[in-house]
Amino acid sequence: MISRWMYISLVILYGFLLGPFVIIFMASFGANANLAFPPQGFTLDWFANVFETSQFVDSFWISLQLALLSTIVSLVMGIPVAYALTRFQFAASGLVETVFSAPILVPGLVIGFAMLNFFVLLGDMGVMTGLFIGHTAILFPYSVRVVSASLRNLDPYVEDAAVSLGANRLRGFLLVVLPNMQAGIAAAFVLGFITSFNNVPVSLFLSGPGVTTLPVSMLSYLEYYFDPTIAALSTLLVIFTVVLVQTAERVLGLSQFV
Amino acid sequence: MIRRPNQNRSIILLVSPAFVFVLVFFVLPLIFLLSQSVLPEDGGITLTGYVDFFQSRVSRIVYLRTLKLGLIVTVICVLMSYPAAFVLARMPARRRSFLMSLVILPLMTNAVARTFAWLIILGRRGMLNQTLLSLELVETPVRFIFTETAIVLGLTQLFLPLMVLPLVSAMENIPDDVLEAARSLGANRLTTFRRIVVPLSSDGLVLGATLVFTGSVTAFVTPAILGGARLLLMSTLLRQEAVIIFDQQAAAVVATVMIFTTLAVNLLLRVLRVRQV
Amino acid sequence: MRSKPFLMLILALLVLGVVGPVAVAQDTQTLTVSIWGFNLDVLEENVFAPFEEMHNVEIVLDTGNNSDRLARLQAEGENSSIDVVHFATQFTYMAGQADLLQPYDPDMLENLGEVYDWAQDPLGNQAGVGYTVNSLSLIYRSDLIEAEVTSWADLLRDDVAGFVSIPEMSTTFGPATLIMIDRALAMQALDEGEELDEINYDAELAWETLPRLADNLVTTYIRSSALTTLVQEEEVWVAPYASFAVGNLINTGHDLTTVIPAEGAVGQTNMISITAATDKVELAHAYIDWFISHDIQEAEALDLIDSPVNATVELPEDICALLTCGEMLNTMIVLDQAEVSDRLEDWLERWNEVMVR
Repeated sequence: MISRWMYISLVILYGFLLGPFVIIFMASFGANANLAFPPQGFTLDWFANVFETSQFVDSFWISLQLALLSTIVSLVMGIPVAYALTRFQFAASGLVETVFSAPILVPGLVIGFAMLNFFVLLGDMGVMTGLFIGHTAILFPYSVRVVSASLRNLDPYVEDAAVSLGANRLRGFLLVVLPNMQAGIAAAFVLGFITSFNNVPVSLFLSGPGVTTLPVSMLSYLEYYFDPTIAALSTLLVIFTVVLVQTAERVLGLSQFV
Repeated sequence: MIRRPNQNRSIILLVSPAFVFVLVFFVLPLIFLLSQSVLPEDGGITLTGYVDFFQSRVSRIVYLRTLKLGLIVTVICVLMSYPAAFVLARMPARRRSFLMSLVILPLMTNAVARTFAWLIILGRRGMLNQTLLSLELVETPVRFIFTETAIVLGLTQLFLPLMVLPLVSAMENIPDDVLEAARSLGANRLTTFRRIVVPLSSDGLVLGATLVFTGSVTAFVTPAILGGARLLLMSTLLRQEAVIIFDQQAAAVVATVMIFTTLAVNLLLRVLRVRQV
Repeated sequence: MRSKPFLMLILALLVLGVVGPVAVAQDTQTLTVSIWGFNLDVLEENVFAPFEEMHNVEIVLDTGNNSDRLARLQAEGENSSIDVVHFATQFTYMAGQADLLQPYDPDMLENLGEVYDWAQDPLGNQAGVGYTVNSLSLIYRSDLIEAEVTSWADLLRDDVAGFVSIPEMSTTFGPATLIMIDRALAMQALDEGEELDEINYDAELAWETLPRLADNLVTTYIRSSALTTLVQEEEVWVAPYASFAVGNLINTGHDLTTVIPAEGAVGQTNMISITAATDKVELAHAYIDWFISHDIQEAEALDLIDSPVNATVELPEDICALLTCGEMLNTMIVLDQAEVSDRLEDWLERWNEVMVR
């Protein structure tokens, strides 16, 4: 059934998917300060430049904080929703599901634009608060969907059995349900973290004086310089992501949730 | 499923914090956006924003260009992923899971980093031009950057994983027996593919196409970097109206058109999916 | 489930997220400055860092091009956290019209007396202080373009087709570029001995030829930095450039020639203003005063960034030749911002009509 040309198509696919990464990797070590290919010489200066450029260092911390905070908050609020959706039958469940998957259907740039206008209307709430609200909202589809997927695999009678054996509902949830949701929660955490950490369109409108996320500051750096610093930073981010994703994939089988 | 007398109270308790959050900080802003697109500063309700949008040559060209490029990207993604996804789906589980994690990798890296690679590839002194020159296929460097081709390439790389993933998971579910049965009944490869694999994986195809198309017509980073200031798409037009021309009503109209376009595509393809099953 | 390593990873991320920023965060007074993102590293060294130390204040930057930042200022209105804002004259004018600025107090600026008269209050009503002057002229690759470039109309030449870039209409020099091309075309149409004095703000001739110019373009540019990268990557061979970008352009290492076209160069001042929203009036004045002081003006000029407006600054010949200074201050054309601003909305629309193809 599988012929040679199908294997060739596989090679083309992977070449196309991963080729750009190889090129970024090569460029980040090249000594020339422009984008001419192939890169000449070898240097680690661009990596040093990443750490010397304060806009990258500052925005890295902001992105990291923002991603952690919004992922955790969206999980804390999203897990109960996932639990309700999988454990109870109720009339409005369709509506609830639609509302929580909506942020994935609406274009990110539109969300950012709509939120900016709305936040201005509400008055001065601070740039970081705006970013936090925006990111938390767009993460709900991940936290609710991924966690419910893992809950559906759990037999509801296990929990009922625990309750009938004398545990109260909260204890039943904490002792029986939560441990069984670990994989789903962890997967939702990784997906949420990465989604927030990489987001451009929402952050683009909500960033402000002194508070810029890493991808947005990369974008604005590109408006000023075309040197391999961005390549070096990208290489570092790819390594960061590979570690995160590979660990998650090994432990959780992340690809089934994407 | 559990049914208990105080069920409603539990549900409200569980759902309401997140529900209120999304309602206030997500749904309300969108309603406000819609109202901005039909309420001009001098009062009343008007659709002139939309009339202007569809009458203006600029926005019409930008809109059609966006849809056209989205369609091209989707078709390329389908053609590139279909046979490859089949190979992936038939692989031993271990190798497949390794290869699948490579597919996800681009999805997990930010769009600026990935688009930057295309500047190196497509520039005047970039990889592609150097290759073409050394093979003597061209005499002078070809301009790729700031063209529709550049945007299509960038978007394809960006959204390819979104086509591969659903296709592979759909094809995984086709039992080996079915394929062997078809072969033993005398169907050749192409027929088997057309009559069995394609129909049985159509769900994944439709889902993938929806994701790729809606992703392409709303992406911002790629057209912003590879299209330049002049080759506008809907997303870059929205940004231009909002922060450069500062026409909030026009920007709200562009945003609303983007929302309805993605919703329409989602709905259309959902209908397609139901009908096929 | 083998969740241990994973939990460790999440834990490590959490620790990083909580501990990391502590090292970054500081608790001092801040001054939020809205400025272009161009040459920030040099500005940091010359201007910001010493100012921060002197006044025990932290400067927070809001960066972007003129229209971008004006839009944000306008959207945020009274809630804006911006204290002082750098704009090109045209955008200072628009910000003033929208009541986003407050007048500066000349008595609070010790160094104002050293500044050229025309830069002290270019728009009247103390809307802002001109702190640097720059000019728009042409730059081209003399190794790749054989015939000399001498006129704004040379951007329309066939031998440069495909290698031209011009500033977007929404930028400081967008309207100026069009007006100068118009002037060049008008001068070509003149008979021998005739002279053209008035500037034609309607630029009808240029608008007529704009579709032809559009075919010559690689792309348009919004930021001078974008022009620099386009020249660096050899995508652009000839373009109008702003004098504050000359250092960056020369640093690309290509064979570049700068020309003041026969029809003249366009000059304009960049201004610093105090926003209506700020209450840090004293600090804002100190910032402006610092920027127009002799030492800062000299340092910025020697780094080929900001051409000085402080009359006490004396520059070496070779530096002066690259900047907007000396004799050029007398010959450059200064456009009437009210005339330009009146037409801008209409022009932006026409511009898009042509550029969209």
